[in-house]
Amino acid sequence: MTLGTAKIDKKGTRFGNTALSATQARRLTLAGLALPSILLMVAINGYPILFAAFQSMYDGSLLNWGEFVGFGNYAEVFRDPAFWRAVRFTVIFTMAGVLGSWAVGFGLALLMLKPFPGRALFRVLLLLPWIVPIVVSSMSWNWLLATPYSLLPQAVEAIGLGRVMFLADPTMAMITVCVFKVWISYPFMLMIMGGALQAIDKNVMEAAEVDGCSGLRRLRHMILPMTARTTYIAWILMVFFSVNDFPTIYLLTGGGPLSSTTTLIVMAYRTVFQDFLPGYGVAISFIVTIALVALSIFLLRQIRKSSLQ
Amino acid sequence: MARIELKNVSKSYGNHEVVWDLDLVIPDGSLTVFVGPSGCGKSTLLRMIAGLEDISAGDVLFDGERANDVSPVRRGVAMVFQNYALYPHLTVRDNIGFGLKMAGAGKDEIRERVDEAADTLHIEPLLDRRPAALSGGQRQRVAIGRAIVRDPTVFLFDEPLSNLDAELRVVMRVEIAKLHQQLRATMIYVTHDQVEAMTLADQIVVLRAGQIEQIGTADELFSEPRNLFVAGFIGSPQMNFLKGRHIGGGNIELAAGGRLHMPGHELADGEPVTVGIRPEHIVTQSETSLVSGRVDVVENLGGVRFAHTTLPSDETMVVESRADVRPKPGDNLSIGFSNRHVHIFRESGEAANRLTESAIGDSFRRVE
Repeated sequence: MTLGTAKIDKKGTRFGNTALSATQARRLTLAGLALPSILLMVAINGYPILFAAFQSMYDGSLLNWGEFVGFGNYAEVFRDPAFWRAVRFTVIFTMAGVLGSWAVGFGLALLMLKPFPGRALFRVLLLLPWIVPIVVSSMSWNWLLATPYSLLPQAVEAIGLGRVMFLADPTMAMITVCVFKVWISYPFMLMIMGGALQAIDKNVMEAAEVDGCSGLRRLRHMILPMTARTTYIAWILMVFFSVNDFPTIYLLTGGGPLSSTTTLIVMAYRTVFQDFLPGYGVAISFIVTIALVALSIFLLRQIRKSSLQ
Repeated sequence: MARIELKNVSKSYGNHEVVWDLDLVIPDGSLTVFVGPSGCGKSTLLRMIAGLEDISAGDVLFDGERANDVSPVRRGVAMVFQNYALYPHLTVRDNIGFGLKMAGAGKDEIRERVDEAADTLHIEPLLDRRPAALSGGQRQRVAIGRAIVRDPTVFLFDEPLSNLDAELRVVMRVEIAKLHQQLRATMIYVTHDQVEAMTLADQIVVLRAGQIEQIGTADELFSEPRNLFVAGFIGSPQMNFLKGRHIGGGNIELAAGGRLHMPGHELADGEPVTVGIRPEHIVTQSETSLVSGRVDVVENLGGVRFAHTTLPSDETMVVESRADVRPKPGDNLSIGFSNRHVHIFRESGEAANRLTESAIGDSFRRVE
């Protein structure tokens, strides 16, 4: 294969006065072609990251940098009980978001496999939570749940379950936020897992049927392993979407009541923009970033190890 | 082992009839081949026998018992698919052993029986690989291994060799024939390739548009095709068809010129007919010639040549010639044939009934 106008043959080529092997020449060409976009990425992403890294080592406000404190902000973050509460809810929120939306999305994708009247319409309707802007959907959930006179609390009371404060009670608020997250996220899983299911060879499923594998055993021995790779990738993406999810929580509860639904990202935002402690807030974001990078490396390794198909 | 019977079986998708009111018996231990052009319903028929496809009307009987609503695994069938349909996430060993595992066999038993099947098919070195790391031929062996390990009552093959290259196809064809001799199990084999059908089958079922055109052994189909379709489908190169007319007294006048005396057929005077003659039954010696043809193209296969000729009637005719005659494009060939090799078809496409065998002579006819 030759790239662009670079002349590369099996014997190699000359680059200035240096003789290069074909492999070296190809690598150089590829590096040269990638260079402009690498520079652009460094300029766009690298600079702010570096800037933020410096900022996390100062104890200033939004207006002045203050004094250099080294890793002082980080040490303080790790001693802060509010941080650990946020870690705890971030983990809960992420697990619920990933596994909940996967279970719902995958389940619906399985149901949609067999044709039934109105399937095309259903497919569109099921994507609605994803299509509707989150500001709109969080608003409608608020109308549905927020006050004791909203629709759902009234309904719950009517069937004799007493007065449930969906957003005012800390535990209920945590559950509500997680359910809302599942609701806005399952269409993504439905699309991805639906694609993976479509890709399964029909004959393979028939071969399994002839081999006596049907029902739940089919799910366990055929469908889950054959879609595992897609599942892992969808999980990784949803971990990022959940950990970094600011609007879902901020629009529904603002992190309350009593900080019960504050995730790390919400905490970082509030620290920077409400408490005016940029060094402290940025330090929290950095911790999240490092944790996510470590997690994604681990999960990507798992995918490679599973080496399915 | 099982004897399979289809009674008035039909299959339709909406208004579209794929198989229509079909009766068929597949004897115990036989190798039956369903053959026909694509869309003839042969695969659908096989899948109905497998239990993968619902039957719209009629019954499928396994050893006399109605099996319409019995699951594939309870029917005891094993199937080999055209694209092999191996489980991509399992090793070869687990692929072959999967059916046994599902049936609840013990680990030792599975291991033993997988080893046995692998030995039969010479795939022991592949047992720890995954399907993606196998060649087409190897995958086909694994697919067959997956079938034989379960010791099924019926083997179903759905165009199993279509995805292999020509050379490997011949090898695997022989292996399947051997396997049948060894196992003596009932096998049903679907193909669109008449050579596969002819070489493998105890019984060939020729299908067209969801109906059976003819059932018989390879010899029967070859020498006594019941209609134009079977005559054209069986045999390679195809049988030549010439237009003609019965002018009475068993004499048939060909559009290409020449006259055949074919007594003993149930034909009306003046009835238009189609005369069928296979390329290998044509003689190109001048004293026996009936019509003449101009050679357009010659296909040389080494031991044999096929001359594609055009007759005066603009009909084309393929003539087989052995080593001693070497026709060239542009040559005029004198074409003759013994009337004992001639097939007469009526306008409906059905073969004309013969009245008596003894009335048919064995002489060559000259151009008149």
